[in-house]
Amino acid sequence: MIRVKYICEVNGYNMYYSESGDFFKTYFSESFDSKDPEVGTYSYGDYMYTGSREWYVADE
Amino acid sequence: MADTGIVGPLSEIELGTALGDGLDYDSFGFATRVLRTTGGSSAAIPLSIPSGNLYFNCFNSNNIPSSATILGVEIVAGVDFDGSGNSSIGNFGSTGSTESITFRMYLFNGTSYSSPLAFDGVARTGITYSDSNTSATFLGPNIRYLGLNTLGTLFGSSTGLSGLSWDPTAQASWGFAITATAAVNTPVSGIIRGIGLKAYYSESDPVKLLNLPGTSITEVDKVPGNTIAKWGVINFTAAAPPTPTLYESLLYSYENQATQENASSNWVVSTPMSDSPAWVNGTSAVNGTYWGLTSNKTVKGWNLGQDSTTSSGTGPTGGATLPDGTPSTSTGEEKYMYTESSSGRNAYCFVCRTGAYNFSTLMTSTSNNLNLEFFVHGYSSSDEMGDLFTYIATATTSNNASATLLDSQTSFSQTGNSSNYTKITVSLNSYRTVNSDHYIYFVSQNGGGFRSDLAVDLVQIKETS
Repeated sequence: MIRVKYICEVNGYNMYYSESGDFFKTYFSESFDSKDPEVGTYSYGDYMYTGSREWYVADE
Repeated sequence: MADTGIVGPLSEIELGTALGDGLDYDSFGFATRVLRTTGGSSAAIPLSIPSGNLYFNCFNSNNIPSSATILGVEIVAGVDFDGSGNSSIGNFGSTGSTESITFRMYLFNGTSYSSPLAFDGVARTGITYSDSNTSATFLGPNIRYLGLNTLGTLFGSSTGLSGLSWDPTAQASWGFAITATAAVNTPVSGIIRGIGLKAYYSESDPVKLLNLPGTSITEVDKVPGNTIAKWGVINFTAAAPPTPTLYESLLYSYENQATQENASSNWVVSTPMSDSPAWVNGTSAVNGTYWGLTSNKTVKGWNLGQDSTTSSGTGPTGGATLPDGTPSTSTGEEKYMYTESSSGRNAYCFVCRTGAYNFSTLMTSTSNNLNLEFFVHGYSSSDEMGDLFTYIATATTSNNASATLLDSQTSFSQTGNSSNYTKITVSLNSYRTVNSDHYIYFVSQNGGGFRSDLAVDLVQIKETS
């Protein structure tokens, strides 16, 4: 489990290490218009990876 | 066939005018000697002409079962009930050789007398038959009809009632009458105790459960618990047949479907949801360009989610699980269909439909209840969740104008991604007996922004008793 910042950017949803702020990975690729209100929205949560699948669970 | 044996009378009464033949009969002398409870002297003797008595109360009130079919009643000569000799009718030894008496006998059913009964007409010394053998004249001493050394049926039949009707509630009133209608000089004659009635009857076979009149019992095999041990007085020696299986569609959990979370793409239906009956997603389910609910919105297919949806602040964390709709990210539980609302798709109308169901033929019994069940998740942190509308139609493509709205969900209880789904139950009872294929349409629209990822999971149609 990795603590991440999960943020929407024009290329999709990217993950950054929550502590360092370093780029971790692009979790979901999709083109967003730079004016799309979703771009820039983010959450913090846990990234999990089992070897065969990965998923993200946002904090609540 | 059953019979009562010879049953002697307990009661007697002077006939008087009861026979309605214009005669007024006096009582035999010593009439009670013929009763079965009397001992000692056994002869009842006519002391005047005409004389006659009714002997009755041979049967009790339930000698012949009320459920039995009566076959016949005889007057039978047997051994004196006190065992002291044989019964008979006729002249005794002190009767003079030129003296005679004429007897007749009748059956009585409690309300009516039979016509005079016929003697057997067999030639016997000293007996002359007349009136079609219904009168027998006994001439001289020791002339008996049967009796002495021969016992047996005097009158009546094992297969008939001598013209009388049978009422089992009046069986105790049945009896026989004997009359002396003519005499020459002063014969010493009479009837000797030991004569009684004998009834023949058949008892009904045991009632078979399946032959009950009116077949009022039709579902003995559906007793809850499926273990009938005793029902009324009937003991069952084996378990009842299993309760019939009620119809249930597949439980559609989307687990075998390929994930499609791109806002611009649709879930592509595949096995098993592509099996017959196949689901259809997107514009292929719509008759026309638009679904047309309140306004014309671009039609789009539902997405197929796994674990969380991409956007923050909306969607479930995983697929619904039974029984309470808890979201799960476990393998085999993590998928669902949903409305991916990013990139402006919240303005779209998401449409998909199920396969075909002809409930009238699928259900075990159309008198049972039929429901559509599914779970819905409508979390939006910005309170911009859209609505979910469920329709039914008999066409493979439809729209708001032609389909029938079954259910509307316009507010949702979820307060976070991990909130439980809400179970929705929609009655389909109105469609149970309609002999047509039906399709359920899931339609969602009116999302206010990208945080309107509405999820549906665990769809099933169920028959319940």
